[in-house]
Formats: sequence, C-alpha cells, structure tokens
Amino acid sequence: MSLTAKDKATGKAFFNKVSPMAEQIGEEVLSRTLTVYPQTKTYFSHWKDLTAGSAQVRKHGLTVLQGVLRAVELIDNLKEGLLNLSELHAFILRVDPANFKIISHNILVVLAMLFPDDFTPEVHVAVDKFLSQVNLVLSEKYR
Amino acid sequence: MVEWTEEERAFIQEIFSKLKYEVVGPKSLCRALIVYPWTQRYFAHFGNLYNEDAIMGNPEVARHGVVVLHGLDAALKNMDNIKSNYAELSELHSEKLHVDPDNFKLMADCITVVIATQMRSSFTPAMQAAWYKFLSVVVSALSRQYH
Repeated sequence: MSLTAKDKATGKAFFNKVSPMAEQIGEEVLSRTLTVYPQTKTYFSHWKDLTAGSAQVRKHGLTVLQGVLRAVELIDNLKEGLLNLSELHAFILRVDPANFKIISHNILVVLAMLFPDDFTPEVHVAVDKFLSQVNLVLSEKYR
Repeated sequence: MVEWTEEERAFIQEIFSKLKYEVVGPKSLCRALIVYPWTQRYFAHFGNLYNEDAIMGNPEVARHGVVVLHGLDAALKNMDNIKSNYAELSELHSEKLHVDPDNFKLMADCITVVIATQMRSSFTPAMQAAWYKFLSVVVSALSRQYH
C-alpha cells in the first residue's frame, strides 16, 4: 500500500492547508488519544496533568503534530528522513507500535472535525496511507 | 455485561438524536469502500464501484449505507444487552454474508469520522470515548457467532 504520486500530492496540499492550525489539531489529537484510549496514559505517568487541553497535553500535542508535518515535507524519503525519530521511538521511547494506529485514527477524526468539507474520502485515503507509512518508519528499528 | 455511566448513556442518546441516517449512512459506507477498497469485495453486485465518483453516486451504496447505520438501532434501544440482541445479525454476517469481522472495525471508524464531520466541535473527547465504547461493544457482539 505504497504512496502513489497522487496520494503524495493530495496529502501535501491538504497538510499545507491545515498546518496553520497545528497547535489546535495537536491538542485535540493528544487529548482524544488520552481520553478515548486511557491505556495510552501509561506513557505519561511523569506528567502532572493528563486532562484534555492541559498545558502539557497542548505542548506535546504540538510536538507530535510538528513531527507529522515534518514527515509530509520528507514524504519522498520517509525512511531516511525520519531516521532520528525512528531511533528515538525504538531505543528511547519504546512506545508499543499499536499506539501509532491509535494516534493515526485520532488524527483522522480531528481533521474530519475541523475540516469537514476538505477532508473528502479522497483526502482521507491519502492521509490514512501516509500515516500508515509514517507508522511503519517509526517502528522500523524496533527489532 | 457492559456497564454504562449515566454520562455515557446521555452521550450516546445525544449522538443518535442528532444523527441523520440518510446523510451519515451513505457517507460512511462510501468512505469505507474508498478508504479501504478491499471492502468492495462484498459488494460486487452493486454495479459500478470503479472510482470514487462512481461509488459516491451509486444509489445501491447509498441505500445500503442507511441499512447498515440502522443496524446500530438495536444497540441503542437496549444498551444493557447488546450481546444477545446481535446474535442473529452476527450469524448472518458469518454464515450468509461471509464478512471478515475485521471489516466491522473499519466500518465503525468510518462512521466515527463522518459523525465528526457532522457534529464538529460538539463531538468532544468524552463523547468520542463513549461512542468508541458503544461501537466496540457492537463490533464485539457482531463478531461473536463466528466459528
């Protein structure tokens, strides 16, 4: 299920459009991940406030979203481009890769919520494929 | 038995009260067929599913989307006994339709995405959590009679 030229073009155009709202998107994505899938909170036991919309959630949501936006720029060479992030997730964070799917799902839900007219089925499939590729790269070095 | 808080029940009622079956049903099934094209294997008899425009303009897809969405009504009417209420539908999907139960999750995700486009910011994280729980119970019930 590799990215076609059309997928890349569709994905890039859509993310360019939504990137100004990165902070809000990131906050919503992480808030929903922690609220709807409470098992994900286990990765943040060192935080003081895990409630939706807290300062730490906002800050980290943006970090995650910025990672996604960077991946969009590197869409033609995700494996090499995201090498640092791959190693970070594999050796330091060691987040179970099942959680990448959870974050991806919430990214789709938030994009649908914030951009209901732009998030057409065509955009949806391109973004879903892109996020799947990112997830693969992030888990690349796990074993 | 699944335990529901009063808040969760209220969230589910609210979502259904705002749900336009004839809008969300077709859009959800179209999304599933477009975003997860392998699901088209179950709908060869629907005629033209050749591309996105064909799928979105296909009246049989639209009609069936409404049918699928109404399939959730049994769960809404009796949230305390979803498992037994879906025994028949589960058997139908297993024995007659031969649908891989992994597809139930894909359909559930597409319904959620479409609801997000309709409800927008009123689809809060807490509401999404209740909705995810509700759909998970339905998906589990639908998968139960497979053997």
